[in-house]
Amino acid sequence: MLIQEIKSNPNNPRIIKDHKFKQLVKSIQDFPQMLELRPIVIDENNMVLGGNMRLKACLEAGLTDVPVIHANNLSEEKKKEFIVKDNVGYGEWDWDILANEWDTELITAWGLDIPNWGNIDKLSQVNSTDTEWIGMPEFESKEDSLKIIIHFEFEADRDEFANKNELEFISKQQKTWSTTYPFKEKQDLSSLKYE
Amino acid sequence: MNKYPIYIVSKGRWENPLTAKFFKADGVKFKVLVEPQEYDNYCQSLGKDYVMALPFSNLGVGSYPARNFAWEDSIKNGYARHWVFDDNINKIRRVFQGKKIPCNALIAIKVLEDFTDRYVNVGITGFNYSTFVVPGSSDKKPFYLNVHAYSAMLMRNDMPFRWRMKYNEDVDLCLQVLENKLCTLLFNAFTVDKTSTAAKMKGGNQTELYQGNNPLKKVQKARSLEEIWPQYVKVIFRFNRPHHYVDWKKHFTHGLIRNPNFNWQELEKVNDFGLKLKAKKEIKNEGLRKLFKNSN
Repeated sequence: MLIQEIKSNPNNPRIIKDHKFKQLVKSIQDFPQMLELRPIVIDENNMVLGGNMRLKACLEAGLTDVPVIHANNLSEEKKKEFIVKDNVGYGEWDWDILANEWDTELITAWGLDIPNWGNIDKLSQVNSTDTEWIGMPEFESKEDSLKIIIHFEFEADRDEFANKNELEFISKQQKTWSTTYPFKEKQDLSSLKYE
Repeated sequence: MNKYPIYIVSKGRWENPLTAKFFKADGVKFKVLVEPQEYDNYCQSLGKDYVMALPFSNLGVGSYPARNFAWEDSIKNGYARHWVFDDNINKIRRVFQGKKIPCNALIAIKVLEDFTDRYVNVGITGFNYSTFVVPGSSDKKPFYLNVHAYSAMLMRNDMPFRWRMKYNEDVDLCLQVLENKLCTLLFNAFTVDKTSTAAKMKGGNQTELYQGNNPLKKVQKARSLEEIWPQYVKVIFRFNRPHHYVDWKKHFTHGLIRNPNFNWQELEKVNDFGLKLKAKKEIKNEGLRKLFKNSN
């Protein structure tokens, strides 16, 4: 049927976003036989009942003839029912099968909306602890300090070294004493609390 | 409120139930699991609402039956995970710029719960000990993946594994989890302070299991783990005593799998979960005063 004889339905409740419309136009250009297998449905007045978006896309694609099926003698109520039911998807996608058996890029190009799963590549396993620390309290590590470790054979030597250099110590364990240069006293962390 | 139920396994420590005391102060909801003969003592110490009696006593096999009881109780109440804490923890800290600053327990617990639920394959999440977070290594990583978790652990309930060993029960459970390709998380960004049981506390497993620091007992402990997991565990001599050794990084390289139902797109770079740095007394140290000023 000549495309100019078909009337777009002004009461069709479906809308299409710009990028989806472009996908539909491309889909028709790439696979025009699809229209023969699934023609546009029109009533006795050549008004579209099913395929309003496809009609627009056919015009955009520059087609002059499109296959149609006539649905005559439907009441106005039945026409409305047809318009809605023609666009309702009753089934659900099995995303496991789609992910494993189908090409994600292709099905996206064909117009299927992939649910928002973030970066789908990240569904594979992640081992980097750094990349995962997002949306979490800030974790900032301290710069590594430089160290000199001095070993003493006898306690007397250690005491002499400490006294000679007038050293103050942050901690004195049985075997290990530690300090900083310049000297910074030990921080009393109990004066603070995250609440 | 914490999302998942918290159980504290305790024995003979009603006079000083450390974990329970500081949880109460920080608004954490929990139950202390105790043997029936100690129930009244714990109720007197903590209040009835915080105590739950176990259906057994003095089994002589350590804490694992009580831990499994917690697991089943949590399932019975419809939860997907549950916490088990040791009873000798007295503080939770947030590690920031190398400083281990005391932190409200409830918020820290919520942070770990939230992070854990972002993945579909986390079996166990735990707090590291504050003393094990050291400059230059663990203080550079907010968490470790697939290592030994201990003492303060969030467990996934639908796992088919259970606590089963008298000694080193946490190592055994982590190995069960990791061998079956689930992950463990050990947090360095939030840590727990544990009071040394051997030196300072009576009760618990101290009297029953670890009495005397007998070297033969230590070999038996390590060997019992090696017998079950010969592919992962070796008995070595370390720190002047026999010790079990597991090369976690070598054996368990599988990664985290992100939960597709979690809204990753909406994550901000940083979420402080409402944490605010507060002064509890006069801040004498200049470095801490600077940190406090910059945080507020």
